[in-house]
Amino acid sequence: MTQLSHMDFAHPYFGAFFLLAFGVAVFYGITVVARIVSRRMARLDTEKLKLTIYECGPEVSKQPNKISAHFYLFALLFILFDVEIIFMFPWAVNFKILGWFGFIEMVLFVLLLAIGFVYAWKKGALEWHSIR
Amino acid sequence: MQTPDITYLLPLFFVGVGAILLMILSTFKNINIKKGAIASLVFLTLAIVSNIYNLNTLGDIYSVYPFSDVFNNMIVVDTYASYFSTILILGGILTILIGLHYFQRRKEFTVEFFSLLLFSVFGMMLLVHANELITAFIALEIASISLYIMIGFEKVIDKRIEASYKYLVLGSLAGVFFLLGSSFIYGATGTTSIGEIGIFVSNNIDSNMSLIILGGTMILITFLFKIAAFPFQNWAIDVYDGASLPVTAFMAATFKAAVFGFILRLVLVDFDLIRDFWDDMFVYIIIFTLAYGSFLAIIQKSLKRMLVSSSIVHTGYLLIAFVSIGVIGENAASSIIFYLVAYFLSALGAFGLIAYISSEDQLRITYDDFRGFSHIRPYMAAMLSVFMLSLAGIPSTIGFIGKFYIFTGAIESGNEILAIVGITATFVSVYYYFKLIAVMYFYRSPEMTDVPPLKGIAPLVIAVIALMIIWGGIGNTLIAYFPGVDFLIDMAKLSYKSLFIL
Repeated sequence: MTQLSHMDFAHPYFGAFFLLAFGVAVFYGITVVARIVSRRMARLDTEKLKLTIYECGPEVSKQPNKISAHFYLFALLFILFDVEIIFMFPWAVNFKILGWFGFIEMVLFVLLLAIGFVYAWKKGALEWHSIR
Repeated sequence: MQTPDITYLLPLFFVGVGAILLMILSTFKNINIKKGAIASLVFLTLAIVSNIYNLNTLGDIYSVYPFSDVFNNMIVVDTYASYFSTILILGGILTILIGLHYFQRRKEFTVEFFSLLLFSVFGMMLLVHANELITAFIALEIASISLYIMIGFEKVIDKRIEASYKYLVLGSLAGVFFLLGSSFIYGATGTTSIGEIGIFVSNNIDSNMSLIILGGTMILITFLFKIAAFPFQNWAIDVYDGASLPVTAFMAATFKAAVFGFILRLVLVDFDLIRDFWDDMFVYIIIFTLAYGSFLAIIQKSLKRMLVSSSIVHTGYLLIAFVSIGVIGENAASSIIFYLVAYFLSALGAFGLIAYISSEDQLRITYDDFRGFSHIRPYMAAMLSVFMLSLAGIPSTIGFIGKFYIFTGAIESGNEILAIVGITATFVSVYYYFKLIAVMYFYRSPEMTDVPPLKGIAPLVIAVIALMIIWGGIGNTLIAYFPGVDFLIDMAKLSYKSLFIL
């Protein structure tokens, strides 16, 4: 019944297990090799440009204006509708097959999300800097 | 007359809709904590009334799939689920009643808290009603995510945030194992429905079961994590200690029951034939859980941390009965269900009373702070003693009967070693439970007198719980026809039978 106890090379999962073990070994090996190589072969001289933060070419400057955490709320509310669209799309494609049942289900789904949106609205998430 | 399908789902419906309505209500300014608590109590009471109505009218044993064309048999309503739902809703009601004083004292609690509490109860109820692995996962996450937020609700205290974050990260990681296990089982059997997995297993018992066993092990990892058994127990102390006391009471009392409710269904229905594989593993898990939990409980100075550590020990006792299911199915399963009720009452009472005592200040935290407590508040000290006696399993309390069933079950099923280890852990537990009683009664240091006087609903509710614990211990010998222990045990047996009638 339980065949986990003995080694069996002909076992159908042996290949998968071998790949798993091999993958782990290779992953670990590469990490070790990379560390050794970077220790031994790195140029250790300090140069001003080398120590700056890499910003794809342009010179690093301090952020002049602080970005409000309020954008985070807007992004979250955007995701609310974003996810709604993801689920609506396959439903719209199969609208005729799903019929009234699908329509009611989708109305329920949108209603639940709308309640969440109304909650955020009432709490003042859409007004700038006025969260109650 | 045919009962309409919606009747079966009314308890779930009331709690779920109540949670959403409370969320909308919380945006209005003139709804304060007290009104929110009353509204949530109304919804929970409606739910428990409809649930008990179901239990009464649908006969001794029932099992139906409501709206099977819509839900595709994903939700099952049987005696088993209704029994567990009653416990869970009761847990919600008692938490609100006990914690009301605490919630009103602290400024950070808003009406949203009750909405989250109802969502959490809803998730747990859905978990015990779930007849399918993915539904169970979603229910588990509804309950867990609500709990993560409830733990961190007092966001001015760093400890709460830390506990919430720790639980979020570790709990999500544990949840992933559930999904992995479900996908393994789906790969092996082609279904995630609980009854159908069992049918597949019994039909193909001679073929290779490795993949199902692997998937089952993954799901059991999530299970062991959520109930804080040995290799996955380290989160429990920090999280339970970091949460505010009413939330700790709620988590300790109900979440364990809900997770056990689902996993018992899964193991009894599906893995009945391949369960032997895990028995050896569980023996070691139980021994280490009991030993480690007892050790942790002994070294704690803070009362709350001691109660949390001892909840790990109680997990160990429950798992003892979980192993004996293989030999004496019905008795072991009903002893688990009964012990869950016993622990639910004792833990809710103990945590709730300490929450009430410390709701004014944070002064009474360690054992030493309770020196001479009986001279200041004799009634509270008496109630606290009752809860300690019940947790330690001293006769004349409900905790004794729970332990009695579990240990006799273990001996009947031939697991004498587990029974011996469990009884030893009980002896050890007498030390850390009775230390509190000794400190309260035999020392005299009445310097701190600022204890909240007995007012409000919370002390009354706690007193009722204390009476229920004593009633559970001695009740049936006094008045025969009033529901007591026998009633609970009979109900547990009926709910066990209801798992197999479809």
